[in-house]
Parts: sequence; structure tokens; C-alpha cells
Amino acid sequence: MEFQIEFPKEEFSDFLNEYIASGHEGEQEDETSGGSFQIVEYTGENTGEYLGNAGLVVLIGLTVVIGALVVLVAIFKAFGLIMTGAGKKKAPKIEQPKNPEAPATPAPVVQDGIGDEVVAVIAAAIAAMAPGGKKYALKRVSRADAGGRSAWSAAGLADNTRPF
Amino acid sequence: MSALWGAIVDIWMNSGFHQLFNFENEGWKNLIMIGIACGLIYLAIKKQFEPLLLLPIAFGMLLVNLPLSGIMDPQQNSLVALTPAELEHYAQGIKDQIYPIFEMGGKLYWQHFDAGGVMWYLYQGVKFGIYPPLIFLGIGCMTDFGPLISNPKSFLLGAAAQLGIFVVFFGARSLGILGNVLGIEDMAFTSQQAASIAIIGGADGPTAIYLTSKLAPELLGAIAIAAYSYMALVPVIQPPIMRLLTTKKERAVKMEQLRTVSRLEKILFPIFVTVLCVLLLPSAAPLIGMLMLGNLFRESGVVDRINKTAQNELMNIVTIFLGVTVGATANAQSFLQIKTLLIIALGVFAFAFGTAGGVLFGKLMYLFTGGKVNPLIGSAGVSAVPMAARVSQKVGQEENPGNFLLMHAMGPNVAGVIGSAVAAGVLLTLFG
Repeated sequence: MEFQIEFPKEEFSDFLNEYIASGHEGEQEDETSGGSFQIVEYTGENTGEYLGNAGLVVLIGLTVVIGALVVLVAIFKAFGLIMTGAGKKKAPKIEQPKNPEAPATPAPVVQDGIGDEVVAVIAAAIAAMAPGGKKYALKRVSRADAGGRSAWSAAGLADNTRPF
Repeated sequence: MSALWGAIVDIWMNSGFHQLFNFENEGWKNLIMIGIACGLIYLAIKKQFEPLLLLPIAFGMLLVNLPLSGIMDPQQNSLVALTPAELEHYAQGIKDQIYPIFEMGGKLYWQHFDAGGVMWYLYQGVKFGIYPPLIFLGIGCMTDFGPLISNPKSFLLGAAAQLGIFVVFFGARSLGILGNVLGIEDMAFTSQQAASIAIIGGADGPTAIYLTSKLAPELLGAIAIAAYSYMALVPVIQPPIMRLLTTKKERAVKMEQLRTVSRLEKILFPIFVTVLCVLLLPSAAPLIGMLMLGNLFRESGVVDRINKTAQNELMNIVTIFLGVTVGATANAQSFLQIKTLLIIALGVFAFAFGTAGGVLFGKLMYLFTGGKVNPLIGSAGVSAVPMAARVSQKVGQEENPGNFLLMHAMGPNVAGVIGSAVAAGVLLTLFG
């Protein structure tokens, strides 16, 4: 059994001393607040009630937690259905005009010394950056002309022109 | 010569060493606590048990158990009645520590205060429940709720894994009866204490600290240490229970790929969850609200600076304050009790029942979906993000190396964070 008793601070210590002196046991809940005193008593006769109360907390707790999350399931399930439904309606509109022009693309011409992995990475990068629905074919892969500015001069130029 | 010797003796008598080795004054208790703190520092550094929190917790524990450090002493306030003449005499050297309050009967009453220890001031952030919600803000910024939104059924697993909390609440309360039979008084826990111990099963450090600081601050040190230690031990505690409760066939189930979640859904998610949970359980508002605010920062994509600050600098600063001050609550008097051992034992049960609850609910979902759900993802519902999800992935892959459960397990995992915050709200409403 638990009792929660609120006291003015000055009366608290008197009460505590009297209560303990009268044969009860108690403990101060929080030393700094001083205003609240909680007495915990357990007597053998109330075992059923004692466990019943604890069981009730288990029941209430699980019901509320599961209940709250079931409501969230329902909301987001419905939301998901709406969103996927909307997505399905839009999708064919974009794809339809593109379907006729999907010819078999010839293999790209690759300069000697460039590995298949590099070609695959370039193709993947283009596909990833391509605007919605558009398809690109990789026709030729070759190294850029080595001429022009060196990396250092390009960096210097970029640094000087960045503010503009 | 005798004056010098007297001074040396005086220094010794006023030193921490004298207090520590004064066994009549229970200095041995501090020695044991220093040993425990060093053990935890070892676990944090060598074994990497949740080092970000365990290390500051352990060092706070070490500091507070060094006698006379006064690092956790509360601020002392007292009223002193003084005439002006007495003031001149009394207040020499402490003028900056007193200030007048009121005048009565020809005397002026002065407020005199002695400043508390630095940890005591920092501890107010724990005591008033400020730090845990701030950590939740950072967690919200780091969490991707996408897997949960794409498979909302995961919410149920996050709820089922809270079973451990309530089972252990019942267990902690029942210990009072056992203690009565055995004649051991220390085994009885109040409802508030039982609720605080039970929340260890939520496997969520900030939630456990938040609830305990509100309901049973005297157990804060023991509960925080148990919660973080067991979170680090998730890969040890969970797999045997997962294997015990599932068949080989169930563990090998491959789950369908999750659908892509739109940005709009991700933005609406924190708003919906906040409104619903806070309306249902107003006491869960600080935790759920801050978690979802952080998530909205992340998903909105327009407050990148705030998002980065909340999940890095702010969270790191708060983690230091939280860890070191929670550790500083573990003084010898409050920690070296039978109750601490019971808390540590009950904590394992909380984790074990939480894992079992999630896995068993996962089995139910396996049955109802015709074998489409792998029950192993249920164990991730105990929070402990992302460790519990990794455990699901690992145990699943042992059975079927081509199986990737990680993203499926992230759904219940993040649902568990919401679930444990809701459970904390329920306990706070019932016993706060």
C-alpha cells in the first residue's frame, strides 16, 4: 500500500520523527525537495490486492502502448496507400511517349586503355543524373585531350575567378 | 618542530586519504565504488561498451566517491539575522556570499549561501528533465524513419517489444512479497521505483534517465549504469533468445524489398506522430516532441545547419553533462545496496522479455502473412538503435547468407524508440 502525503516543509521533519517513532517505516523521497514523503507499507493480508494493482498497471500499460502504435499503423498504412496510388497513376503518363523510341543501342566505342569498369561507372553516373524518364546511350568513351591548362593553372584560375 | 609535525598531521586528517582509509567512517565503501568506477572505465575503453556514455558515467562515479571533493554538494542557503555592527564583524570575507532579504525587529535578515559543487549545478539538467529530451532531439536528427513508414506494421513489433518493461514492473513489485517472506526489507520497491527499473527494458538510455529522474532519482546511478551496460550487451543477450524462439525455416525467411518513401511522407510523419502521441499521452511530450522535432529538421531539408548542430555539437555537449552527472549520483551510500544488485538482475530480465515479446509477435506476423515476415526483426523492437537491428541482420544471415534483414529490422528498431517513449509516458501518467 502506498500513501502520498504532502506537507509544508517546516512540519515535515516533525511529522517524520513522530511517524517513525510510532513504529512505522518510511523514507524521504527526495532530500532536496523536502515537501513530499512516501510511506511504503506491505502487509501479508493484502497480497492479492497488491499483485492485482501491479497486474492492472501491466494491462493498462500494454494496452495504451499497443493501442497508440496501432493507430499510427492505421494512419501510415492509409497514407502509404494514398501515396503509392498517386504514384501509380502518374507513372504511365511519363513512360508512354518514350516507349516507341527504345532501339537497341550499339556498344560504345571505347578507347584503348579504358577498362570495362570505368565504362560501367560512367554509364551508371549518366543514368543516375538523367532527368526523370529520359534514356541516354553511351556511344564513345575516350580520354579528353591532354592539352590546355595544367591542373595547377586551372586551380589558380578557379580561385581567382570564384568571387565573380 | 612540533608545530611542523602538527601541521602535517592536520593536513593528513583533512585529506581525502584519511577519509578513504578511515574504515570506521565507512571509507571502505568509497574504495569499493572507486574499484567499480575503474572497472567501468576499463569496460568502456577496452571492451567499448557504449563508451560515449559509460566513460563519462564511470568518471563521474569516480569523482564523487573521492572523499571531500564536494563536487556533488548541493548549494546551501540559510537566513542570518545581523545588526549592522554584527555584519561588519561577521561578514568579513564573505560579503559577496550574502545579500539582504528583509528587516524585522531591528535586525536585517541576510541570505547566506554556500556555492554547491560543479556537478550539482550540471545535475539540475538531469533533475529537471532537460538533458534527455535534448539528446532525443539529436537522435531525431539522425534517425531515418523511412523503413518504418514503408512498412507501418513494424510499429506493432516496436510495441510488442515493450513487454519487458511491464513484465519487469510486475516482477519488481512482486519482490516486495518475496522480501517479506525472506525477511529482507531492501527487496521492496515502490511503484515509482519499479517503474524506473522496468524502463531499462525499453533499451533507451535517455528515456530511462528521464523517467527515473522524475520518479525515483535515488536509483538514477544504478539504473543508468544497468541500462547502458545492457545496451552494449545486446549482441550477447539477444541471439540465444532469438534462436530459442524461432525455427530454422522462420529465420531463413527473405523479406520483400521495401517501397520507396516520398519526401512528403517523411515530413508528415513527425507531425502526425507528435500530434497523436502527445494528445494521447501529454506526459510523453518532452521525449516524443523533441525526437520528432529533430526528425523534422532532418527531413525538411531546409535547416541543414540546425540539423547538423543538433546531432553533433549539441548532442555531444549534452552527452558529456548527462553522463558525468548521472555517474556522480552513484555515491557509495546510494549505490552499495541490495537494491542495486536487484536492479542489475531485473534489467537483464527486462531486456530478455522485451526481445522475446518482439520475436513472438514477429512469429504471429509470420503466421498471418503466410511466411512473409521474418520473426527475427521483432527483436529489434527493443530500441537500442542500431545495435538491435544489426543483431537481427547477423542472426538472419547465419541461417541464410543471402538474406539482408537490416533495413527491415530498422523499422521495428525506430518504432521501439517511439514505443519506449510512449511506455515512459504511461508510467509517468500513472505514477508521476
